[in-house]
This record gives sequence, structure tokens and C-alpha cells, in this order.
Amino acid sequence: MKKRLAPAALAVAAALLAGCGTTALPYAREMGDMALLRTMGVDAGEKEGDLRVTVSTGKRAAGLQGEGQPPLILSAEGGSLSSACLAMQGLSDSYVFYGYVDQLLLGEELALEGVQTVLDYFAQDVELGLGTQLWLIRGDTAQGAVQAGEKTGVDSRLSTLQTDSEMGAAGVTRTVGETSASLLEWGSAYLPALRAVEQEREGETALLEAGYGVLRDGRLVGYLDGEGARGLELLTGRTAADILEIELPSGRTVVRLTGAAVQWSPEFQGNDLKRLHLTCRVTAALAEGRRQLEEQEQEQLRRALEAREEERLRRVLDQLRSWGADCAGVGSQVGRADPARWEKLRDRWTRLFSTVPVEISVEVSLGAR
Amino acid sequence: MKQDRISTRQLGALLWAGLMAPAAELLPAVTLPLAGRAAWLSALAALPVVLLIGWTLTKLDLSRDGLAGAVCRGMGPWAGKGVLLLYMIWGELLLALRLRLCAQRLLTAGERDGSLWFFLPAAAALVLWMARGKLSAFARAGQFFLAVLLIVAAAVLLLSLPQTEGEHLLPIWWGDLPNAARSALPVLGVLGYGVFAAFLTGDLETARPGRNWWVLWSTGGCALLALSQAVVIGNLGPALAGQLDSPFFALAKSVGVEGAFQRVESIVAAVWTFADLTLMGLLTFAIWRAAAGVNPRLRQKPAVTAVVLIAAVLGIAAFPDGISAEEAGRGIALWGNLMAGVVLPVLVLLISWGREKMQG
Repeated sequence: MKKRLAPAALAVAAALLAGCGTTALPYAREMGDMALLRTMGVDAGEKEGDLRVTVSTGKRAAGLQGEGQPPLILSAEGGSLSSACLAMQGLSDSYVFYGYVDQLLLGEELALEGVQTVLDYFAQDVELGLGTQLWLIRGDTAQGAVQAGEKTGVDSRLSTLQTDSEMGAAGVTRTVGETSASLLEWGSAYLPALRAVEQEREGETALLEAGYGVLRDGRLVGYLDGEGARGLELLTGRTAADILEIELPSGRTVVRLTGAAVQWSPEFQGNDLKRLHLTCRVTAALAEGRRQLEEQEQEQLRRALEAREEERLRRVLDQLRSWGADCAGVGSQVGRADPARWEKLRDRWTRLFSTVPVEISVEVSLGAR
Repeated sequence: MKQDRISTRQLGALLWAGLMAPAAELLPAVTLPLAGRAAWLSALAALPVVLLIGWTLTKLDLSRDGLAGAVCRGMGPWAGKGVLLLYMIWGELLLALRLRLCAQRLLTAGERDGSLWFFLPAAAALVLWMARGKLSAFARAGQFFLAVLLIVAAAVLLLSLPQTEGEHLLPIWWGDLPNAARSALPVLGVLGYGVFAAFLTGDLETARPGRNWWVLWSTGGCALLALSQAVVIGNLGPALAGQLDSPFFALAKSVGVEGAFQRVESIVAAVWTFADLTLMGLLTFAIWRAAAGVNPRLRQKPAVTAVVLIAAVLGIAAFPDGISAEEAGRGIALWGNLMAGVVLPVLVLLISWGREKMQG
């Protein structure tokens, strides 16, 4: 049997290796012949319904010493993301590979029209993934933001922001998967927004944090800035790089927020939701100033902080409720607090979120520096 | 041939390494439409039925000559051979389907490269090579494959664990429990592939009395399936996971360690070929054992060669595109497995008891 099988196997192998199987065998590619894309920007196209896709490789190593080459930036427009990405292949002399895209920028105009198509594409595509970081470019196009990093690539700046966020030194970041899940579960989501700002040195543009964009039904409904943005971070239990200067009778005190946790308690009358109680527990530490505060000063500081944080929470909740956008997952927490009653009000939640009175209480614990 | 024996542990390893192929493809995609966020409970809901089937099989006295012998003894020679023919046809269809799906996964992992005409015959050749050899050698390979698969699955799930959000898994209330119980059906369909392992129980070494290893294997396996579904749903959310063809592999795409490795899904898909090979090898050995129950003069090598060649041709002819194969994998295959894995063994036991009573 082996004697009969061996020539047949050899014949098949010879046919495949000799070229009969050039379409059957996997195509070998050298890494040097590939353009490994790191950042993708998507905007609304010039024609209605079209999409413009801009991609960048980031700084590329080249030569024996690994000298840096400027990033390869390509841009193409099409009736769909697939056609725009396919058109990109024709613009490059390298094989364009999307498997390393880990930053996705969305232009403001596209966000106003709707981002669901882009998110679905990332969920279904073979090369792109749901772990890609998602950013909204405020007041500008994603193409402009990608091209802002013409010399060094925008990916290093975005990676730094992502790392800073993980270390609590920058705002909250979101992935495509998180945003997509939030939109599907709650009909709304928030995204970190960036603004492209011209630097003093001519020709250089930097991407700076610019609050959060809020999406409802896949479309941008507005931005949360300043105190509202800090309120959203509190509401999601993710305090980020928050330093507060509080004026006390004894002078200015600088405090750093170190943690926050929120708890929602629904109050029912029968099966009707009467009121929501939000309890926010914040931990803070002195960042500057005298080592030890008097007891009275500590109490004054605590009260001042509680008032400040309560104001932030009220501001963000008023804004989100006016948009009808429960992007912080309040409904989920209410559901966990009372699963039996939640079953009956789940379908009415979007309306209830905007209308039910909310009582906010903040408890601040001052810890050691 | 009876010298070529395997241990209970090796059979358990073959069974679960093989089941990891359909489980990773289908769970929780097939349980989410039925149970929503409670889908992660589906494997636990299936456990009582799995234990019942296990008990049924132990009552059929499989240790003598496997399920093939038990079916012939229980149902009589002619009806028994008819049932074995049904198992052979169903096993052949499943083998063709698994060959097609294995080739599809390798095509997908290759990022648009290659062709079905390369991957499917290559997978069939590997299965043929394993099935023409000794069962004990295949069983040892199965142990190694299970270890590798568990390590890779654990790495994916552990790296995903920090992103798991409780709000995607809870709250679950009484109203969700009937749906969770209903979602046990597709899980049983997935586990139904495992009934073919019962054809190899005649090749087991004599087990120490009082040791019910199958209870531990079943409980541990179902618990791990529940845990893996919880991590997948906790990461992606029930709505998003329900829209994906294979949530586990979609989750593997998001896994990476900055500075070490960024994308692992191709490695995961490639490693999952071990699961495919194990399941296909298990099916081939089982079909041969069933065929030997029908015609005891059949020899292993020509029988398994015919089984694999027919499956390879059927895999290409019956499933010309990946979509039809995926639809068959999550539709007819699961219902057929429910019949072959749950209904038929119980029927064989009932008829066997009835015949015993009639014979006095």
C-alpha cells in the first residue's frame, strides 16, 4: 500500500510545487514588502453616502541601522469601507496589511451621520479587530488628524494617551468592542474626543484631549467638556488625573482624586420607579501644601470636595438625561440592584432615565498623600 | 489488535480535545439567541443531561466491545446493524463537515491566502495518517493536543479576564432560567459529537472498580465551557457576541500583550487545528469500529482509507462554500448530534431492557 501511495503523494507535491498549485498554496510575503498599518481614520466622503479612509503605518524602520523612515500615509474614498480599503491597495507599492491597526479615528462629520457601519466592519472583518482603540476628532476630520503626524506618525501619540489612561494620567479610552457593545445594549456610548491643535513650531500639529463625545443610536449628539467630562469619569467610576484646587479660609489646598465608586439605588412605589439615589464614594489625598490639616480644615475640605463632585455629577447627569443617552450604564446598575422589578421596566428605561428624579449624595474620604 | 489499548484518561483527553473545535466555533453564538445574557449558564444546564447519558452508556456495558457491540447486543443483530449503519452515515457526514470547517479556518487564518484545494486534502491526509496508525499512538497525541489547547484557551481567557464586565452577565432573574435551560439544547448538540468516543470504550484498559472518571471529565468540561462562555459574553456583551459568527475567535483577535505580541488569532486558529484533527481522528476510528460491528472481517487500514477519502470528496462536493458549511455546522449537525448522542443511546438502553424482560 505504501509503495502505491508514495508515488501518488510525490506527484501531487510535485504538481503543487511546480506551479500547478500557485493559486492553491498560500502566497509567501516578505515582511519588507508589506505596509503594516497602525492607524486608520474614517470620514464622511465628498459624495453623499461615501466614506474616506486614511491610513498610516507609523514610523518605519529601514536600512541596516534601522534608521527611521517617515510613515506611509494613504487615503482613498469609496461607497463603502471595503471599497475604500481595496482602493488603498492600488495606491501603495507594498502589500497593505490591516491586521496591526490598533487606533481608529472618526471624523466629526461622520460621527454626526452615524458610525455603526464602521463599527460593524471592524466586528466582521478578518484582519481588523474589536480591541482597536477608538477616538473622535472634534471639529475636524480624521484625515487631518492622521496627516498631522506626517513626520513621526500619529500612532505614537495615541499609544501614549492609551498608556497614560491605563495609569490614570489621561482620560478614559474606549475600544471598538466596548463602544459597539454599549450602543447595542443601551443605545448610547461615549468616546474620548481629541482636537488637532497647531503647535508654536510651524507645521507641527498635536492631538490633545478634548472631553468626550456622546453617541445615541450611533450618532453624535454632543460633547461633554470640563466639569461635565470629569463628572462622566466619576459616573463610570474611573477618575483620571484629577487635581482640584480648593480655597479654604486658611489658604489654597491642592487635592488629588485617587478613586471613585458609584452605587445606584432605585426607589419603587409598587412596580413604578419613583426615584433614583446615586451614592458616590470618592477617595482623595492632599497633593500639595501642609502635611497635616486641622480637623476643622479637613471637614471644610471634605464639604467643599463633596459640593464640587456633586455639582459635576449633577451637570453630567442633566446633560445625559436631556440627550436621553444612558452611556454610563445606569440602567444596568439599577437592574442589578432590583432584578425582579427591572424585568418590568427594562423596555421603558430610555424614557425613565430622562424623567425619573435623581438624588445625589457624595461621600469623600481624605487619605494620606 | 486488543493489545492496542488506551486508558480512560486518554479517551477523556481525546474526547475533550476534539470537542474544543465545535465548542470554540459555536459557543456562545448558538446559545445567545435563546438565552441572552444568561447564555453562559447553558453548559451548566446541560450537565444533568450529560450525566444521564453517561449513566445510560455505563448501563449498556460498553467495556466489552464498545458502543457497536452494545447496540448489537441490546437491539438484536439486524436492528443493531441498522443502527450502526445510521451512526456510520452520520459520522461520515460529520467528518466531511469537520474537514471543510477545518480547511475554512486555516483559510481564514491565512488572511485571504491559499485555497480549499490545498487545505482540505492536507487536513484529510493528516487524519488518514493518524487513523492508519495505532489507536494508542493517536491517544497519546490527543493528550498532548489537549494540553496545548487548554494552555492556549487559558491564555486567551486569562488575558481577556480584566476586560470582563459584570453588567454583561448580570442581572439574571427567574424569568431568564427557562431560557438558560432551553439553551442547553445546542450545547448538547455540540457535546453530541462525543458519542463517537463511546465506540472506542472496548479498547480501554481495565479500569479500577469504583472509579467513575467520566463524571469528573463531564463536570469539569461543562464547568470550563460555562466559564469560557462567561468570559466571552462578559467581554463582548450579549448583543455584540450574538452578532458575531464565532465570538471566541473574535475575542482572540483582541488579545495581545504590548511589546511582546500584538495579534494572536492566527496562532489560536492554527493551534485549533489540533482540535479538528483530534475530532476527525476520533470520528474515523469510531466509524471503523461501527463498520467492524457490521462486518467483523473488515481490516483497519482499508476501512479508514475509504472513510477519509469519501469524507474529503463529500467535504468539497457537499459544502462548496464556507457559508453552507457553517450553516450546516450550527443547524443540522447539532440536531443530528442530539439524536445520535442523546436519543439513540437512551432508545438502545430501553429496547435492551425490554428484550431482557421479555426473555425472562
